[in-house]
Formats: sequence, structure tokens, C-alpha cells
Amino acid sequence: MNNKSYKVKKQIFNILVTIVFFSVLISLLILGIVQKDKKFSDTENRNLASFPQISLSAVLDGRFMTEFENYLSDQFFVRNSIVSLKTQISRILGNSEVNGVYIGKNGRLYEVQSLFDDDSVSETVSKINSFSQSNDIENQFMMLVPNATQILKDDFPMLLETADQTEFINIIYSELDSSIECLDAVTPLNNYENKSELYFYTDHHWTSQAAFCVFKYFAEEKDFDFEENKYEINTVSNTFQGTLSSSSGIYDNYDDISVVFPISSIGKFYINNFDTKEKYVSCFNSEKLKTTNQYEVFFGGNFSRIQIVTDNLNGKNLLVIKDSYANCFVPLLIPYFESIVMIDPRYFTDDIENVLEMTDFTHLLYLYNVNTFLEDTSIIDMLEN
Amino acid sequence: MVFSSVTFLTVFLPLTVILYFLPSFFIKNSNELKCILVYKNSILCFASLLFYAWGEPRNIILMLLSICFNFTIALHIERCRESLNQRKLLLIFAVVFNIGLLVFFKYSGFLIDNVSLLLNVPSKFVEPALPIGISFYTFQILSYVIDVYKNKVKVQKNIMYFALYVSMFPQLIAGPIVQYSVVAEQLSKRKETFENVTEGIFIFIKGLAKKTILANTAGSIFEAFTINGYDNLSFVSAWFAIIFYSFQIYFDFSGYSDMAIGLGRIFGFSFPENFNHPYVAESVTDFWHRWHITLSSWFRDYVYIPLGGNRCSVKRNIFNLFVVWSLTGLWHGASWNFLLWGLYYFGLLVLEKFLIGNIIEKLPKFIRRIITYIFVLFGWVLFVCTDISEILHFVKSMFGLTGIYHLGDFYNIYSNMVMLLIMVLCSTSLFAFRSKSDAKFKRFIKAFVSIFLFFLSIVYLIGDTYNPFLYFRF
Repeated sequence: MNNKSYKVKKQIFNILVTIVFFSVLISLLILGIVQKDKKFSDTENRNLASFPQISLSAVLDGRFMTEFENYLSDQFFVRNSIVSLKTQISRILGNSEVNGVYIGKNGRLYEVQSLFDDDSVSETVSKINSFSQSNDIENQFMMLVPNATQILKDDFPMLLETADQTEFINIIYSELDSSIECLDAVTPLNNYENKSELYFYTDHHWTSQAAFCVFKYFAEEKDFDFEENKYEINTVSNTFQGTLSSSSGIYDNYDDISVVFPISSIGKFYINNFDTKEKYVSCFNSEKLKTTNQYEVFFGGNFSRIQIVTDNLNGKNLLVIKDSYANCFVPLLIPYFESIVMIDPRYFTDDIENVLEMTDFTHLLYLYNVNTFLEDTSIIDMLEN
Repeated sequence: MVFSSVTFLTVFLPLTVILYFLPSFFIKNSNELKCILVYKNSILCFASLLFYAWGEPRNIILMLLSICFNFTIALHIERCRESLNQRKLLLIFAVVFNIGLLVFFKYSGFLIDNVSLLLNVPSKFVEPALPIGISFYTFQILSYVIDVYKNKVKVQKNIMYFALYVSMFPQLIAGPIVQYSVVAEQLSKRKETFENVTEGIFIFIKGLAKKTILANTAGSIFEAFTINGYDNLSFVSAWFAIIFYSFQIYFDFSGYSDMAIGLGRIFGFSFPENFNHPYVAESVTDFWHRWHITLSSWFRDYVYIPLGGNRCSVKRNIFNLFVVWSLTGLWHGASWNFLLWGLYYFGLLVLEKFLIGNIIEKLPKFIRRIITYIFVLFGWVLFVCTDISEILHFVKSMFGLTGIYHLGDFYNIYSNMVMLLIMVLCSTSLFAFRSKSDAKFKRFIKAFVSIFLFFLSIVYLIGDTYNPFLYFRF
């Protein structure tokens, strides 16, 4: 009798497990279907997969099946919460790296240090050297800016060590032609009092404060006509979550974006965007503060060629070959030049000679963040001839 | 299709199970049992073909061709009972056909590359795409044809049942390699019970967790340690890298086997175990009794023993082992490093069998396990590096000849310490309940652990699909 009731109980248990398991599987599918398809993921900044179109060719080459799986997983029930739960679990287990982003103390996010590849660095440097000899621009400068991984080591996650960017910068500087003057951005950043405001918590860029700090240092060093009260600093956003947040999916912190710019009494200027064929009167595009990537507030983002024309007819013309680190730095230079042309080799497909012909440049500045300089090869392509 | 995909878990599996079991709820009349079996087998066979076609639809033609050919040839072998020569001829024809297909699809690129290298003529040969699972189903088919020839099993007269044996989706893509004799009876007579289904679910979840939680994590940790390439490792990173690789390959493979066994159980099949905690093996011989068991059994039954096994001279015995282990190596992939890996085990096994076996037995158990594991790790180096110079670099690093540690090594160790501990524990038999004393308690624990693991597996599976698009990366 006892034995029989045990068997009955066991059978009930088994039936229960079976029913629960398969109903969970089916309900996951149904919940995914019932929930309205999302078109775009804000956190990932990409379109989510939608139900794939069925066609014979798509089925035969397996494309349909891959897209179908992407559709199901992209539209999975409460997917966003599941993703952040997974990150939480792996952090609890001691892992402070997510998708190539380190999570430091106070939630500061760091990007992985790029590798120093001798061959590609030498090639870039030799292209720059031969370019500097072939053109007749009088004053040439190079500034490589370290990023948070170098300047803010205090907030590093436990035991993390990264390669020394100062060393990388010194090697590159030592290989450059003597006609190029190398600017030291490391010293002013290292000596800055409130270091944590030099870099964003959630983005890989330096802040306007950092750019201004480096600019002031050069103003003193080079002894040029500079008065701090001719610059204005404004905080334009306190809801910025940058590239490191989206790479890692960690949205714990918000950053402020500040802009530093010369006050209007200094003179008039306009900006000429060669890509969009638009002209503006400000370096800042506040419309971009309403988008996901608020960093594009500086010049509206990265473009192949931007020209700033001022009414300061001093005959000084500056060519900047740059990455996005220049975007918050260049506004500071406006009072000193008649015109400034910014070229971003990553988007520039024209011939650089055409740019040189149009303006009689007196100054040339290469401005890069160390990581971009190590990784990006577009500058080689641009200076090829 | 793979088991650890949303398509499989939420669409394919529930639909197949519902269709499969549906009539059982309405028909209780025993006269109709035969009908139900045909229905169930057709559902399972159709589902399996769909499962296979889902990944690469074109390969299904090759598989159907193979099924028809082998089904027919086995019938012919059976039919000419009297003429031994004819039977032999048919068998040779079948073996050549099956091995030929395998060689063409899996090894032709490798062979032609090496021949052209040898003759110093450039080859323009375009390697055919490898049909998924071909190494597994070819071996299953061979076991059938050979056993029919040896009269060990009855010939299968129903082509649908035979197709089901070859294509059965649980074990189709990554084993276990089920010999025909094991499931011959189950194909036409098996009992699905709620008990089996429940047990199957538990085993399946165990496998899913191994794959999604442990194997994938171990894989990404392995990548973190080898981020600068295999020829830039330090002593510390080389050892940790290969340890995590050993866990990746074990949890991946044994997880897949568990899922296969669990799914089989749900449909009333009982497949042989494929892994038995290989990393606690006490000798290399023991390791191969615990690692990919169905593959070693297949080679034992269809290569080693037919060659004479160990019932012959020592010289011949060593030769037999040499053949078996070269083939085992090459079975894992068409590349020199796999052959080398096979020969490495040939060397170790011969050494153990004929020379130092007695010495090893005298060592304490703990030491034996550590030594065995270290030899297995060196084996994985041969497995993971595809060219010889990489292997040399890797081994050099393991001997500390390329620097003791790199920047970042200690950070990587520190952040993955807990995971490493979990993996070590899960690869031992600590968590395997062996006592049958309190079955009721055990069942509830199993149920709770399974619910938890299933939840975690889904979290890891979906969590890994996070795929940000960074057009504003710069």
C-alpha cells in the first residue's frame, strides 16, 4: 500500500516536471511573439532583427535560418534585463571586464589598451615624415594625447596593469622628423588637480576641461597672448552615456558634457562643412544633445573636412590632421588663426594636395589620441603620395 | 541547428515533443500500438531531417543518398547468405563508398595541399564544404553494415527506421556515436515513460548548462589569455590558457553529449555514456576510457580488434595501436596537428602499456591524477595550435622559456578565479549523486538544481547576444 502511494507520488512529480519544462519553453516563445517587435535597441545602437522574409533561395543557402535565429534572440522576452543580469552575474563572480571594457572603481569605464605594433607605427611615422618634408608649411606640430588608461590609473579594477602610453608616445616622437615639433600633453594632464574630470566615466574621449588644461599649458610654454577670462565654460548636458557604456551595456553612470570656447567679443567666424555643404556660426551643434551620441555636439560629429574662417586677418592658416580628440580642442585655437582646416583621414577620400593648394597654410598640427594613432591606418592611405 | 539556440529550445523541441506524444494520449488500445510506433518514428525521422537541413540544406541530399545506398547494400549482404565471397565484395564496396565520401569531403583539401607541396606544383583545387556531422554518421553507418556482414545484427527492413537511426537528431551532429547493435531493438520497441522524460530533461539541462555557462565562458577566458597570439605567451598565461582550453573543450563536448543523451531519453532511447569525468583519470589509458568513450569503443571494435588487437606479438600489437591512434587523430580534423595529437597518445599509451605502467601504479592516486592531467594539457596544445611553429612556441612558453608573466596575466587570473574553481569542481565527480539511499530527497534536489541551471543557461545564452553597433567608435 505504502509502496503504491510512493509510486503515485513519483509519477505526479514526473508529470509535473515534464509539464513545467515544456510549458516554460513554449511560453518563452509565445511571450517573445506576443510582445511587440522592437525595431531599434537604444542600448546597443542598432536595428534589431525583424522576422526574415521567406524565399526559396534564402532557405536553400541557410540565410533564412540564421536570420530566424537572430530574430528570435533579438526579440527574446525581456532581453535587455537578461543581458544586464548576465553582466551582473559575471561581475559578482569577480570579472570586471565586459566586451572589451574594464569596469573600474566608482564605475569608471576604461577601454582596452591598443597594442604597439612596430611595423605599422614605423609605416605611419615614415609617411608623416615624408609628408612633412614634401610640403612647405613652416610650423609643424604633433600632439599625441594619452587616454584615461594612462592618466587615471587610481580607479583601475584590482590588479589591472596596462602598457605605458608615455613610453609609446616617446618612441613615436623620437622617430619623427626634426621639422615636426612634438607637444607634450602628458605633463599638464598628470599635474592637473582634479584629475577625475579629465575623462568621461562612460566614454573614451577626454573632456573639454582636459583639452583646456593642455591648451593653457602650451599658452604658457609658448608665451602666446592668452587670457583665461576670454574663454567661457558651459555645461551643456548631464545625461551623457558614451561609447564605453554602449560597448559594455553598463549604464550605471551619467556624464556631464562641458564646452569651452572663446567669448564672442574676440571676433566673428563661420564654419564650413565640406561633407554636408552647410555653414554654421557655432562649433557646437546642440541638436546632437538629443541623440544617443551626445559627443557629436562638438562640430556635429566627425567629418572628412571642416573649415573655420575667422575675421582675424593675420595670415596664419592652420591645417589639423586629427581624430575625434581634436573636436573639443580646436575651438580653443580659433582666436589665433585666420582659418583652420580639420581633416579626418578616416573619412577623407579626396587628394590632400587639393587641400594644400586651396589655402596657404602656415601651421600644421597632427592631433591624435594614442589608441587611434596605434590602430588607425587611414592616415597612411591619405599621405600615400 | 544546435541545441543551444533559441530556435531549437523554444520552437523545434517543444513542437517535436508535442507531435510525437500527441496520439499516446488518445489511443490506449494495444492493437494500435504498432501504428503509433510507425507514427512516432516518422515524426522523429522527419524532425531529424529538418534539424539537419536547418543548418545547411544542401547536405541533406548527400545524407539521403548515403542512407539509400547503405540500406540497399545491407539488404544485399543479407540476401546472399550462401556466397561468402560476394558478401565480402559487397562489404568492401560499402566500406570504400562510405570512407570514400568521408575522405572526399573531409580530407581531399588536406591531401591535395600536401601532395602539391611535395611535388612543388601549385594546386587549384577548391575544397568541398564539410557536411556537418559526416564524421559521426559515417561511423554509425559503418557499424551497421559491418555488423550485418558479421551477422551480429538483423538487417533493417524498414528504410524509414534505418533513416531514423542514421539521422536521429539528438546525436546527429556531435555524437555520441551509437553503434547500431545498441539501438537496433529500441528502434522498434521502446517505452516512453514520464520517468524517462523527467530524467531526460534533467540530463539535457545539465548539458545545456555545461555548454552555455561553462564552455562558452572558458572559451572567452582562453581568448583573454591568448589575446597576443600563441607565439607571445608567458609561462603563466600559457598554463592558464591551456587549462581553460581543456575546460572549454570538455564542457562543450560533454555538454553536447549530455544534451544528446537527455533528448534521446525523452523519446525513450537509451544512448551510451560518452564522458566519465576524464580529468580525474589516473593514467592516460584511464583517460581514454573516460573521454569520448563511444569513439574509442568504435575504433576498438572496428579497427583495433579486426587488426588482431593485443592477441598477437608485441610488435604487431604496437603496430595496431599505431594505426588506431593515427586514425583517431585524423578523425578529429584534416590537419597535421591532429595526426600529431593522435601519435602523441600512441606514444604515451605504448609507454604506459609496455614500459612504465607498473611504476605509475605505485605512485599515490593524487600524484597520478596530476601527472595524467598535465600530459593531457600538453595534448591539448597539439590540438589547439594548427601549425608546428605555434606548437613549439606554446610548449616553450609552458617551460618558462619566453618570460614568466605578462602585463595583464594576474588581472586575468584574479578576475576568473571563481569561475576556474567552479570549473574544477564541475569536472570532478563531486556533484554526481551516487548514493541511492534517499531517492526522494535526491529527486527534489535535482529538480531545484535543474530549474536554477536552466534559468542561468537562458541568461547566459541570451546575454551573449548583446551586440552593440559602434559606428561612433572613434
